[in-house]
Amino acid sequence: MQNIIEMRNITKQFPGIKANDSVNFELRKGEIHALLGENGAGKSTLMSILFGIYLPTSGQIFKNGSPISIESPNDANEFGIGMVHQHFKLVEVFTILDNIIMGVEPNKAGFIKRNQAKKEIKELCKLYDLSVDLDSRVQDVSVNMQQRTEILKMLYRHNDILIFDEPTAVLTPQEIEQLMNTMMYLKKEGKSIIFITHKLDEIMQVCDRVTVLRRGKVIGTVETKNTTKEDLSRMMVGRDVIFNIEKKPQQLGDVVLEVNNLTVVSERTKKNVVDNVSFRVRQGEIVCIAGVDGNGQSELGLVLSGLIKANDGQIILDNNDVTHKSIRFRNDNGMSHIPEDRHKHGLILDDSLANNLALKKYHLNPFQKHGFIQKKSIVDLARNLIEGFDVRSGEGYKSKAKNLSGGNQQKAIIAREINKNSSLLLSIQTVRGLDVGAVEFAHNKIIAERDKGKAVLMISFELDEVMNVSDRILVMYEGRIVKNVLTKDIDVEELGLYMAGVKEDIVYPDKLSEPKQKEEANNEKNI
Amino acid sequence: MKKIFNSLLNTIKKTAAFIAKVAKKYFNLFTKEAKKIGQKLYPTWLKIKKSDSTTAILGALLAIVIGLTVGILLMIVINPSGSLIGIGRLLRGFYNEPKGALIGFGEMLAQATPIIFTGLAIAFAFKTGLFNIGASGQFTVGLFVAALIGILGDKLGSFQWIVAVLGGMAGGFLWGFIPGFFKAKYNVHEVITSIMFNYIALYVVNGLLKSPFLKTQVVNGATNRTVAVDQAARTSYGFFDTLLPNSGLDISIFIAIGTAIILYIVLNKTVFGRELKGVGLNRHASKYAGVNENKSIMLSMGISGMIAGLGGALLILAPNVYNLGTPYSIENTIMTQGFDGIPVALLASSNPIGVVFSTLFVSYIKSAGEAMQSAGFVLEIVEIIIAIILYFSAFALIMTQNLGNIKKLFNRFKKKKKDSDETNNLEVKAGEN
Repeated sequence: MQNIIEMRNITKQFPGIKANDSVNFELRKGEIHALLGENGAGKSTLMSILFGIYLPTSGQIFKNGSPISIESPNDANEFGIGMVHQHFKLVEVFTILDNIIMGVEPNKAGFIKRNQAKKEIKELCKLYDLSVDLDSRVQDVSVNMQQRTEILKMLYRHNDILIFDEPTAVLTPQEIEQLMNTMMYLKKEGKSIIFITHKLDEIMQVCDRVTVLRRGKVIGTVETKNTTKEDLSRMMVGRDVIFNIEKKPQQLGDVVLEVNNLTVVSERTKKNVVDNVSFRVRQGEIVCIAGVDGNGQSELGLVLSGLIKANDGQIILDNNDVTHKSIRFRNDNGMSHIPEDRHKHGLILDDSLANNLALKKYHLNPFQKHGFIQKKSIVDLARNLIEGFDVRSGEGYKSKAKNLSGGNQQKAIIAREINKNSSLLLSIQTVRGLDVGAVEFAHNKIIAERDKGKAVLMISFELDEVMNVSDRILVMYEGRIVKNVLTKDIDVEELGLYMAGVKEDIVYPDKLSEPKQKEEANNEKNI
Repeated sequence: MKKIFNSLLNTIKKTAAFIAKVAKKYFNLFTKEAKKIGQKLYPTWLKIKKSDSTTAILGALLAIVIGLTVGILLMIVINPSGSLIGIGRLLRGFYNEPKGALIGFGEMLAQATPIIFTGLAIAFAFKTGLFNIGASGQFTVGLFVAALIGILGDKLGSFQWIVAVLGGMAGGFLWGFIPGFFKAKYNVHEVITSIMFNYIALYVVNGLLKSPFLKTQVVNGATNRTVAVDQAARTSYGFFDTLLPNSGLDISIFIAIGTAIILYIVLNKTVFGRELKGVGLNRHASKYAGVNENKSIMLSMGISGMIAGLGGALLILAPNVYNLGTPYSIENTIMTQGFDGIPVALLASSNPIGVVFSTLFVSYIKSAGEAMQSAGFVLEIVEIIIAIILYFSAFALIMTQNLGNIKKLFNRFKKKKKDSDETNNLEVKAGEN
């Protein structure tokens, strides 16, 4: 088959880092070609070069065998290259129709011919089985439909080379299925697709070939039908990845976190988003709160960390009642917290990596003396953490946090929180956006904390993580804990029933005295 | 009808094409020259260690050069015959002072001092993520409180000056703190509240000065101005009355420079400053890290107001040229010092030390204003030039940050041309075969 796009010896040098190192990439006409790699392996950079956002330091791009030069997304568009970005590039207050035709409006003497555009787009929708409501504003429609809008934007511009940058990260399983179908349709119509993803299952399902990048270099290009998930992950990480983690038998200690009848009332809906929740976490165990997203787990995480206030109930950390204590008190007295939203809470993006790694420590000795910051101590801390947790960045501890790739940002947060050496590690959506290698790394670090006798409370929406890492599972449904069970005593199917609210063991009745007994009984069983 | 429309369209098209052609020609000429200069400067640029501060300084210098050039071009267009004298006078700054350059220099410093304070106030707020546009109000309140103490507090004896200064700072703090409070507790944007507080300060102060008691004690009815503060409350000349006599300069310039240094240290070296800056960069992450972000916002605005208030206090307490004191005149216009602080803070990229220099530069240009009037320009030409410099300072910062990329772009153009020449040659050869 003919190569529609060839990228030869592409090198891209950023200050301090070679994001792409003589990369060769070929895209055949009418194939779905996956681009796989760890966080920061250079996938996004390579595609940004193809789409004209970056200029390569050296190397050449060929289309249908003849050299082309792409210096801006407009050039890319002229060569028929379109891209669906991870974060959509849509004007929220415009209608879907206006977003699709923006920049290429069919017009007569400056007046937009919307009806003609509408007719053309409707035909496209029909051809590729994409349903959108052209007259709705983007801000009013679902993420799923916004993505379809982006796809239609490419099709309307007659692009035949389509780049999808981690399109499934924002979708539910059903929506992913739908997207896969759309991609198959596009392929059937002769479009060539580059698909960037971390998820090996998706690659095995739809892609024809896979190119694997590691640390900016191409490791190889393989046919999907001749490979396996294990092979791909080995190519990507450079070693065998263990999907099932081995754990030492647990050594339970004292209760670290005690939560009694905790209730949070939503300001908007006036409902109890966290509803009379009680549980305990002991030294040496990983307790995982499982559940479908939106059942009060986020709020539980926020209230435990002190970012929102509890309306009722009690939080006891290391025998301190911290319910009404400040966040700094919790931070300094035994709580580490890997937050759910890493850009909003986890990092000061415009600040240096060193300052971010010392974010919870700069007010303590030896990082300050008499109120003055001790820069040297902070730099030493940062150097240690960057090395110990393999946080990759262009300029080391001086890099701005916003210039790190998502995976490395998350690694930095994990490093900071584990380094705090607190008795409780509260970790929410620990591995979101991480590649398999980094996931394994993070999980091992967390299990090591448990083995050291720390208490770990995880909140996760991903069943694999729940089943692999935790010792005990608390299932949350509509703000209540509906099941408290040892991980070894339950399987995924049964867990799914609790998560969906079909089954329910009310663990804690309303009276305060009883849950303690039940919890004790439970813990005795655990030992 | 259609004919007329078409012919009209054609003329427009033709003119447009002509303009485009001319513009292209000049643009090419310009880029060619810019390229030459760029290529000469590039090796030196590579040698400079590029930290944030060097970029900011180079950006400001570049802005000044470009801004002055454009300003001079504008002067030539406005008044071709007088332009040469005008340009000379513009660049001579305080040397134009007929009473002598030394007095001119002192006057320039005296006029710069309050603007350094408001510039510092605004820069400090910027650094902590807040846009304090209410420096005028805080300045006015500080001035008012200091005036009251300076005029009515004669029982304080030798402490009168320091109490008046501290009182002015407290007044400014309060006036900054209130918008900070609304921002922190109710998320009301500080720009809106602080603008409103400028007017509230103005009319409350003027209203109070017209109240029965103060009217007789503090205001001189004939001139509609406050009476001069007591001798004991006046700022000391320090050694300036021998060094730069008759210029009105007192030691408040040193207080301004000292404030700048203290602010620089607080912002960059202390835990307190780190927290304020952190809240400015990401309020949520700072909260997550354990900083009381509401307290930080209120304190940032309060401290910013306090600096402006200090400026106001030192203005009213200044002994001035004739050693008669500097009265406040009751008018319905907001004090301009608060707004003059904004451009100097921007030009200095909010660096406290930079504010001192940017204010001195702006004051230097401004001190040429009167002399340029006699060369046939309006006084405001100076303001226009400062505004142009300010616009370019935003561009210049971006340009200096991307100078490396620009060079690469030129290189690419060259290479592309070579490549296409080579491919053409190849094609020719292939044709021959």
